[in-house]
Amino acid sequence: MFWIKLGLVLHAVAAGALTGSVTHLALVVWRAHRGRPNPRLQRLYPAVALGCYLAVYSLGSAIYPRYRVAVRAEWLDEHAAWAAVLFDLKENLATLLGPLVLAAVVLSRAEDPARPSRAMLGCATAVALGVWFNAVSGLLVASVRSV
Amino acid sequence: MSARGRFATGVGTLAAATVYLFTTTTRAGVLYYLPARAEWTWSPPTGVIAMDWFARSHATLAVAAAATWAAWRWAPAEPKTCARWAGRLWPMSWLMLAWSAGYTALWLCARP
Repeated sequence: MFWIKLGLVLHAVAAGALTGSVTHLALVVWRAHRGRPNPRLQRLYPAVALGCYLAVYSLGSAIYPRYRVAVRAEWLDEHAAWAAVLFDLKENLATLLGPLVLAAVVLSRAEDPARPSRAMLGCATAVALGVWFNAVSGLLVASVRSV
Repeated sequence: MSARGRFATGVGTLAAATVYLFTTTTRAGVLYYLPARAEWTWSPPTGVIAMDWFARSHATLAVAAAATWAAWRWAPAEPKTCARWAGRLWPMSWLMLAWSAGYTALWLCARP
């Protein structure tokens, strides 16, 4: 039980760092698109985001089976089905965001920072919106039995 | 370099979204995890909690990485050809990702 709780806390901490890095990434990429590039940050944030994504993904995978049996099957399905659906939506969206995070890393190394492509703008924006959706969803699901 | 990057990531994203959508809609070749028994199986017994997310998710991410690497490695040598293909691949990637997300949302909301 201790390791599951620790995994959940670390998962949340890594998710917070991921949310921060992808939000900053979207901001610096759009700023570069408007003629104010920051090459150092435009290369740093995607790498940080990938590291955080892998940490969030690994920790989430480790605690997911326990959630599926002890939380969803034993409580959520009966008392808060909406939270179970929201959680599954979050998990599947996280999978779809992975390729975009990887694409952002590759594009940040391959492109001229002063002229980010539409692909890079799209990746940065979609990842930021998706991660924010997942962070809020995770908070809502975790709060079902706390407050 | 820029066109090569857009080509490689376009291929990787499209391949990953296609694998995700295929495995999610068909469940073909998906390995299930039984969390209550801590076992893996290709055919889960009825009445037992079975998770297909691990297989679908890991396959999607593995294909994204492998396809991006392969497309970078074997990208067309001519930058203009790369750019032309990247311009076709990325709209298809966005379309496939949107389709995958939309299908997932409808499937989960309609689930009994």
